[in-house]
Amino acid sequence: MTSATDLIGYCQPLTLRGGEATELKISSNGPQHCDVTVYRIICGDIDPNGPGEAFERMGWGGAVRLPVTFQPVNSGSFGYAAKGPDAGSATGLRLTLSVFPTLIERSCQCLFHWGPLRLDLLQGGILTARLGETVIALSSPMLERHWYRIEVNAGAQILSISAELVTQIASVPRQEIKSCALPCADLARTDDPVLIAAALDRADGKRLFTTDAFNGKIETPTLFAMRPDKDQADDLLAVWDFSLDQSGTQATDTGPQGCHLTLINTPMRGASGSNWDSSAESWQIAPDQYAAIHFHEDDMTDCRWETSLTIHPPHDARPGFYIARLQDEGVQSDVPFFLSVRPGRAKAELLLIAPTATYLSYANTHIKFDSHNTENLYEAPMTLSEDELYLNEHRDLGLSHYDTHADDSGVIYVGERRPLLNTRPGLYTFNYLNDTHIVKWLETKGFAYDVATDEDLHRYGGDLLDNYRVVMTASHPEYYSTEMWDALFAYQQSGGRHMYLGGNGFYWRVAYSEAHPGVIENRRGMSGVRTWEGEPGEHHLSFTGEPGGLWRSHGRAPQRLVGTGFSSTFFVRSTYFRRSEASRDVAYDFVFEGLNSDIIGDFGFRGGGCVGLEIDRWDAGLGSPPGSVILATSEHVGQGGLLTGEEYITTTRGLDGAQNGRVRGDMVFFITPGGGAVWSTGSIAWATSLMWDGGKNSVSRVTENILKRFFDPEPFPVAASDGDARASVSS
Amino acid sequence: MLLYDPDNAIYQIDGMRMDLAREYRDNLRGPFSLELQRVLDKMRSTPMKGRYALIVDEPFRRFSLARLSGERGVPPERIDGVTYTSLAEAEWDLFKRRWQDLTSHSVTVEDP
Repeated sequence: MTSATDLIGYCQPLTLRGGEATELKISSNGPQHCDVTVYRIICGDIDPNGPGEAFERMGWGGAVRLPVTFQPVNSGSFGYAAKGPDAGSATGLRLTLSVFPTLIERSCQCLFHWGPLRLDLLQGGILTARLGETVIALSSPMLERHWYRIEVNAGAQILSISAELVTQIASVPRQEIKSCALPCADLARTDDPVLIAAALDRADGKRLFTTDAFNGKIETPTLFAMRPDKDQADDLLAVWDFSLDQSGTQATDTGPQGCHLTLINTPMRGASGSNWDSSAESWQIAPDQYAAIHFHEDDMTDCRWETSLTIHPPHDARPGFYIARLQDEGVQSDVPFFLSVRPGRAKAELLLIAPTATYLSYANTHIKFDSHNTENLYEAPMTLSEDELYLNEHRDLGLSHYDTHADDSGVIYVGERRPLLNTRPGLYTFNYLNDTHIVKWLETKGFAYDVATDEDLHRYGGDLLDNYRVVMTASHPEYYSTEMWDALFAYQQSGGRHMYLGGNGFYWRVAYSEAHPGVIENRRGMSGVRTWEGEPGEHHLSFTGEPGGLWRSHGRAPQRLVGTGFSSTFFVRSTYFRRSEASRDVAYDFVFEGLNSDIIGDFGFRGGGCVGLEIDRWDAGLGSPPGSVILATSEHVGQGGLLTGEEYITTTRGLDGAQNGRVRGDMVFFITPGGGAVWSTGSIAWATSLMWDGGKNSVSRVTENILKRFFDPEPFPVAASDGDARASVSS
Repeated sequence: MLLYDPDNAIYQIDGMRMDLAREYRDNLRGPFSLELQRVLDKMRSTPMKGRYALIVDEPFRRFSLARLSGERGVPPERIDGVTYTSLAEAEWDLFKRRWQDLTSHSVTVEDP
């Protein structure tokens, strides 16, 4: 069998435009050379019983017998300064900091490392201080997930360590544990690098390699110089105030020497500190209660690999989904990238937005191995592909928003600068692959289209959208920044036509950051379908300060934007839509032209129907706009459909699709000011039914009818869709 | 924080209910009777350590039976000699194995 993992790589950046360049970074687990060929993806679904994989080979960007080698990843987040502060004539150092360990079952985790001085947490929670060859340890272990205030004195006169339990625990007295040892004369020098939350292993050129990564929070590390004269006060050397610059990549030293730390691999900011008292939920409102950073051994937002090949797509290269295919004998491995349209240079009237924020949120997910609920949710045994097995054994390739860290805390940041092994043609039949069904349908039907990504939508907003008569969002545009949401809404309001070909869209609020290129942040909060729950007080995005979690929790349920919002998931048996009575209005004749049945989409490549995987429903109370109409609604979702948690607020029974009317998908249409309109399919499986029977089917026909009418510049009449949609459906 | 409890699934399967095994054999993808649904929910909620899974040996054509390690980064362990040529074949065999494991009774219903 051909290997898809003996060569792996990523393109930096993931999104670019013709005339720009992306750096292909390859790591080899065996081959010494590989050929590179660039393809435009028409359909990436390789299932022989699917719509048919299709790729267009490009004449640019390739290479023959490109030398490749293994490239290591240094995972784990930490703070680093190439030089420490100048301690002058100090005879010793005093280090104070607060610590919240979250995983004590590790042989050694380094909290602070400066030359010969180290503060380590050993197996079982034993804290040690080391100065050169002298080591002392606390006699009692630290407890997981409790705050301690630590003080270390290290110098010619003494090496001591003390820890005071800060957290109030009902059954444990506030305690102070101390140890002392004989002195050691070795002292850190200013030339020695300073590290927080890891120890320096080696510096390899520009790259740092660390070891003994720490899992947990650290707060306000502070260094003093001890002077020979005992009567002389200690000098402040450095105080790293983590409450500052929460959105950036630096830990600021407010001490006299400004020995700032660079934060590597995006440790969690906006983390509650030792004095967090729940009087405030935001690091912006009470910064003094958020002076901690949460580090993880498996934080990884940039592989920092060397470039193997720079790809230069020509200026006139067609926007689309692309791969660089790496091949050697017995090896074929695809590396994704996206060519976006240049804002203002539209070549078509239709723009398809590739939901790259969703792709990144799911990238390299480990839920089949780590989340006990996955098999139950999928209603099928876990099938483990080569890519998934590889990822499980190579956690250093970074986690997804669905994963937890080794210390069980949730993953907040995900990045694109790493191999994205489930964002490429293969066996991961969600999101990316499903969206290529849409691409193939557009190609098959001969509709001209441009492509842009979520990152473009975030960055360019109206400058991107306003060039198009129709904007199409794909099968699962689940993760949206405020800028993205605002841009789509403004587009709708200015006469734009928006086709939403999916389900569970516009669900989580995420953030991009200029300071963290290629990274998005998501907080799971206290509601929604989640594989982990956010920690109290840590629901605000560090990139922007905004409250994170569900858009619905912030007054922008998806219904407000697209008329429908998430209701249910089911992955085995999809179902179909039936036309509503409201759809009989002559105003909607164009939608159903050419159909000879009220049943739409009782077929498809995911579960045999066009209503499936994740579905959305209309609800005026949640914001479906006045005048929005349910054109069709699902039938017989059945007991496989499970109501999402935010849809019921009291402990109750009857939550499945056989019993609960909210477990349904609604196809919704509404007219917007300026003669525009929005059409929502309310189901992910709509996209995966488009190409059934080669695209000759009712799902395809309805989509085509909508698209053709949306291309028509004739404004939609504003008064055409008044009425109560629910009443119309049930009549 | 709310953590996973591997012993959370407490439903006890009646190992003599061959009518439920027959129902599953005849309709692998449901919908199921409420009693069979409970059986399947239980089977799919067993502890991650040792849970059955399928390794894709050849996409869409061949799968190997394995057990998950339940530990991050530790690969599943293949069960020697147990391979399938379709997911349906695998799902029925898994059902029988799990029935045996959870009830100490064999499924005596004939294979399809």
